[in-house]
Amino acid sequence: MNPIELSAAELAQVYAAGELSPVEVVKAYLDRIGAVNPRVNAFITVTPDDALLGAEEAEKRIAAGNQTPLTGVPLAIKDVLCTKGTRTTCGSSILSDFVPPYDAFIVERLKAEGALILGKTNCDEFAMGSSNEHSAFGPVHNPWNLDYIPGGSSGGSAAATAARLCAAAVGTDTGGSIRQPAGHCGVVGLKPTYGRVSRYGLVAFASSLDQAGPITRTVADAALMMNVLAGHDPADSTSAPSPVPDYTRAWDRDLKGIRVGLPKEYFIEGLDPEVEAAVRTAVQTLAGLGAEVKEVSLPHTEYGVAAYYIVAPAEASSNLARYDGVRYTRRDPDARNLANMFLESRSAGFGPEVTRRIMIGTYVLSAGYYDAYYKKATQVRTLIRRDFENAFQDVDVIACPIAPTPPFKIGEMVGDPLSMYLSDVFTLCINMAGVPGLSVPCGRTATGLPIGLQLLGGYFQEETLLRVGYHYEQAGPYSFGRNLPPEL
Amino acid sequence: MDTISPALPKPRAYATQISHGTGWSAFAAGRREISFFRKVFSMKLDQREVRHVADLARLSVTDDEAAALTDQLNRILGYMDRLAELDTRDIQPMAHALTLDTPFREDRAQASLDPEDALANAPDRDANFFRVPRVI
Repeated sequence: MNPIELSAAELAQVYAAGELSPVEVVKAYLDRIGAVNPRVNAFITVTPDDALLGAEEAEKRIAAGNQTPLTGVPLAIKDVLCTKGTRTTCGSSILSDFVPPYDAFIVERLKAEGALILGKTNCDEFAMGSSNEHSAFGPVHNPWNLDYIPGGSSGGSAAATAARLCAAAVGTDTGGSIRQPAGHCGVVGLKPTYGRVSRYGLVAFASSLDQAGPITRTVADAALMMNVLAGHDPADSTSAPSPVPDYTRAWDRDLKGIRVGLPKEYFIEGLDPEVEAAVRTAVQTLAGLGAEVKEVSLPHTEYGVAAYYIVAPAEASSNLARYDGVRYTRRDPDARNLANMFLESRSAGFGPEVTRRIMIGTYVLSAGYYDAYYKKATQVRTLIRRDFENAFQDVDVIACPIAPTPPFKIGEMVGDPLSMYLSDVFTLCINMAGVPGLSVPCGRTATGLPIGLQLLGGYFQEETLLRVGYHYEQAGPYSFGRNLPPEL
Repeated sequence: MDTISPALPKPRAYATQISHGTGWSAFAAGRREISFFRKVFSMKLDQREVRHVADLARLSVTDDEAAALTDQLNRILGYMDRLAELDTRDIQPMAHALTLDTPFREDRAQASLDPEDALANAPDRDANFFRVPRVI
C-alpha cells in the first residue's frame, strides 16, 4: 500500500486498523516532497521536524483510542495562515522573515485534531493573483504539465494536493483562489460561505471577501476538513454563530429532484469549447442522477470584474498599510527618517502586482473618486447579491465553469494585468455575494490539463454543494484527484 | 501582449492582437470591443497623479515604474467605467456579505501576547518598545 495514494478518509481507516502508522506516512510524504517539490515549487517552507514530532504524538493518540478523523493526516497550509513558530511569508519578500507568535484559529483547530502540518504552501503574493506567478518565491508549476500555471492564488495548496505532496491542504479564496487552482490542478476545492470559517490569523487581503477552505482529492475529504474548519470564533467578529452540521452526512440523500441552474451569462461566446463541453457533459451526468436542470440568469455577471477590482484593491490598500517596517516586516536598513523608512521598506518589499493593487485601491478611495468608484462598486455588489438571491429562489444549486479557459502557459499573461483580472469573471461574484462555491474535476483537455466544474449554493448551503459534488464524483469518469500526474 | 508599451497601441492593432489571442483575452475582446476601446482611450490619470497616489500609499516609484503604472492604471480604471451603465440611485451600498449585528462581549481582562513574543519580529527594539528612525 503506497501511503501517498490514500485520501484523508482512507488514512483514518488504515490508522484505525493498524495497517500504517502516521510516522510511516509522514516519512513517505517528506521523501516525495524532497523528490518532487523542486520541480513543482508548491512549498515555500517544509517543516519535517514538526511533522515527525506530530506523527509520534498522533501514534500515541491512536494507540490510546483518541483518534479523530484527521489524526495523523499530513496537511499543507497556504502561507497566508499564521503558524506559531513557523515563518509565514504570504509569498512576499516583505514578510520573508516573519515568524508569527500565534496560530490562526483554524490551524489551532487542525493541530488539536492531531492533523500534521508538512509545511507552508506557495501562493501569489498576499493572495493577489490568478496564476501563482506573483510569488516572491517563484511560480508554482501545474503538476499535470510543468510548463503551465496551477492557477492561483492557492496554487501551491492545489498543486501539492494534486502532486501527492500532502493528503489535503488549506487554501484561501478572495475572488476564486481556492476554486480556480483546484479546477486547474484536478482536485476538489471548497470556498465556504463568508463567515463560516474564522479569519483569525488569516493575513488579510480583502476582509469582506476572504474565506479559508479545504483543497482535497475527494469530496468526502473536503467534508472531513470542513467539520474541523467551520465554526464560530469569538476572535473573529464576522464569524457566523450558526450551528455546524456534520458535513460527512451531506450526501446521504441522492440527487432526485434537486434543481440545478445553468446561468446563461456563464455560457457565452468566447468560453473555451473544451471547458464548455466538459461542464455541459457534467450537467448531463447530474441530470442522469435525477437532477432537474433549468436555465437561470445572473444578469450582473458582466459587471463583476469591474466592481470586484475596485472593492478588493480598496480593502487591500487599507489592510496592507500595516506593513510599514516598524513591528514585523523587513525594514530598509539605510532609512534616514521615519517617512523614508515607510517608503523604502514598502517599495522594496512589495512585488509589482501588490503595488498595482495598492495603487488602484488608494486611488478609488481617495478624495474626489470615492463616490464614483468605491461607493458605486459597493452598490453594484448589492445587485450581484440580489442576482444570486433571485436565482436561488428557483434552484438549489448553480452549475457553471470555474474559469473561461483551461490553465495557460507560465509567463503568457504576465504583462497584461487586465486580461488576468478578466479571467476571474466566473469566480469573483461568488465572493462579492458571500455565497459558497465548490469545484470538482469534470474533464480534461486534449492535452491532458484538468477542467473543473463549479457548483454554487445559497448562504450556508455547503451541504447541498457537497451532496451534489459527491454524487457527481461517484458517477463521473473524471475523478482526477485520484490519479497521479504522469510527469511526476 | 507581453509588455505594456509606453504609448497605447492604435485600436485596430490592439484589436487584431487580442482577437488572434487564445482563451480569455479573445473572449473579453469579442464581447466588449467597442466600449472597451472607447474607455481605454479616455485617460484617467497622468504620471504626476500616479506619483501623488503612490505618495498617499507610502510607496516610492521609479520613473519607469511610474510610466508603466500610469499606462496600466488607465487601462484598468477605464474598464471600470462600465459600472456607469448601471442605474444605482436607489441601491444600498453593500460593504459586507453578512448582516450581522456588531457582536459585543463582556469587558473582562484576558491573557494577551507576551511582550517578548510581540517584539520578536521587530526590526529594531529598545527594551519593550519598537524603535524607529528619528521622526523630527
